[in-house]
Formats: sequence, structure tokens, C-alpha cells
Amino acid sequence: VGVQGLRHDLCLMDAPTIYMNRYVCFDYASSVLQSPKKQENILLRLRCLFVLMTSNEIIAQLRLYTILYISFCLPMRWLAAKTQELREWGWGTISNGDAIDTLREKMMGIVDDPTKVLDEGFMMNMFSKYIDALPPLQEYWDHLFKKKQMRLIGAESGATVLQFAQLRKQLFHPSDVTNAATDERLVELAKVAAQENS
Amino acid sequence: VTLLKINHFSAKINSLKERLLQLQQVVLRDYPQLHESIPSTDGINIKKLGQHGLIMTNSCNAAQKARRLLQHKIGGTVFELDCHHHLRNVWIQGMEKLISVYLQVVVSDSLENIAPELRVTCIFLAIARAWDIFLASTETMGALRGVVEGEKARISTISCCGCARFEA
Repeated sequence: VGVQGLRHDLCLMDAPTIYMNRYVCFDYASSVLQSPKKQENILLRLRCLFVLMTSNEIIAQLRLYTILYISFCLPMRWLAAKTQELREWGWGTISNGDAIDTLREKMMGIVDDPTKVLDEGFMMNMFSKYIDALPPLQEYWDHLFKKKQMRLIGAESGATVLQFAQLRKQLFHPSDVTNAATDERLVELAKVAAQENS
Repeated sequence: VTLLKINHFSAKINSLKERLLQLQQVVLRDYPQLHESIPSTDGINIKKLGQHGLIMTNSCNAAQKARRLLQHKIGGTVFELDCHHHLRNVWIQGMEKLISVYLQVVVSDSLENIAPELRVTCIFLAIARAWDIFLASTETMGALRGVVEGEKARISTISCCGCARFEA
């Protein structure tokens, strides 16, 4: 986050981490806040984070950024970064402009009907035409949601999870009551976000 | 400044040409049998970009001006393009600002009831920074591991960015 300048997508990159890990951090924060030994600056920061992370509006914001991160930021970043390797499939530097047009078109769709942001099919297939046309992108997409795994912290058995698949599930079909309660605010924020691009 | 950047670009290409020339001289002196394998410097010329080359910059005014000047200097057919990493980030920046302002208005009443010394804000960049500082502490990391282990790891972590310091 310390890196600024042109890397504004760091905001979107940060959101999934906070969205998924906030409960673990709550537990730690509450234990620190109850501890008799407290440093004033840490206490203030924790109280600030505590207020923020229990706010429906902030959770809705996190959920929106996370949805945008996996639905549009990841494929667009991949396309921009891998352009030089996609000549074989007829993809070149100029083709990236089409991705921008597609994004705009989808955002206009969200402005017309903001509830689409909750539609997994719509959001995750924003760039499906490129995923179908470019086998390396298809491979990356499959890797991300079907193969990419990480080991659970603290799991002695070495159990792993498909972290992006789990994240996707928590975004579009949240099992957590607090996350699910942000639907209304999320739709409202999605319209505001989409208006910026449409 | 823009003109300086353009001249710097040409100078950079010329300096590469000069380096190759020096390499040729060294190889000719020390390894004459390999001299033929060093490419000729004649092929290094900025004018080659005029044969359907492409100049890609970010979309700020200064960069666009530099791009136009460079295009003029090269001549021929040169395409111009905005950097797509930059375009993506420009939209994200605009969106983030817009949402922060929007939320600031929506929760303004609640914010008034929160002690100002807590510095609670809706600006996401500030939230992310506070979160990053929180996770960056070694003490926090050790403690978080303890918390997770105690709770049988009911939550997994996402390792998609630098913020996920406690990834496996």
C-alpha cells in the first residue's frame, strides 16, 4: 500500500485479504484491547480498524472491490502484461482497446441494472470472449479458480484450500451473515462505481 | 522537460549503439575470431520505428505531448497507444475516489459520533494502509498465528498481494 503513483489497483488487491481475514484479526484485536498492557498508538489504530471492519458500508466496499478485482482487474492485467506472447492467437497491442470497450459495455449494463453485480455469471464472464479465444488466458483462469491452492495456517494436517474458489463463493454466495447483509449497499455502490466508467 | 525526455530517448538509443561499437572494438582486439558474430551498429536507428512502429505511454498530458514530439521526430508511420496498465489504474483511481466520497456522505452522521482521534474514514487507501501497518507488525503476525491455530483455522488467507503477510 506504500506504493502509490500509478498502482491504484493496489486498493483492489488489498480488498480480498481484508475481506477474508477480518474475523481472524478481530479476535486478535479484541484480545489486545482487553489486555492490561497497551500502547496508546496501537490501541488507537486497533479501535479505528475495529470500527471500520464492523461497518456494513466498509464491508460492502470491500466486497465490491474484491468482486471487481477477480472479475475485471485480474484478466485485464493479464491481457496487458501478456500481449507480446499472444501473437499466435491474433491478439496484439491494439486488441487491448477492445477489452476497454468490453469493460465499458459491461459497466453500462451495471448502471442500468446494478443488481447484476451480485450475478456471478455476469461478473465472472465479463471477459469470457477473450477467455474462450485465448487458450493461455483460459489456462490462467482455470489455474486461478480450479488449481491454485494454499495451505491453511495452523492446520497440522497440511490441508489446503482453493483460495480463489473460496473467495468467489464468499463473494457471490456468502455463508457469513454479515457479508450477506451487505447486498443492498453493494448494489448501491456498484452503480456509483460503474458510472465512473460508463 | 518534455523536449528533454525526447532527447534523452534518442540519446539512450545512441548510447546503446556506442556500447555495441565499443564491444566490437574489444572483441576485434582480444577475440578476432568472434568479431563476425557481433551485430552491426547500422541496424540501430530510431528512424526504424517509422516503419509501423508503436509508441506507448501513459495517458497524462506530458506523456502524450512527448509521444507526439517523438512521433514527429521519427517520421514515417508510427502508431500511438495508451498504456493499458495505466488505463486500468486510472479508472480504479477515479472509482475509488468516487466511492470514498459517496460513502463519506452516506455515513456522515455516524462519523460525527465517532471520536475524531480514532481517525475513522471511508477513504479506502487510508483503511488499507492502516490494515497493512497492523499486519506488518511482527508481534501481530505471531499473535495471529496463535489465534488461527486456536480456532482450527476456520478462515483461510488470500495470498494475492503484499498485504497477505500470513500466507502459508
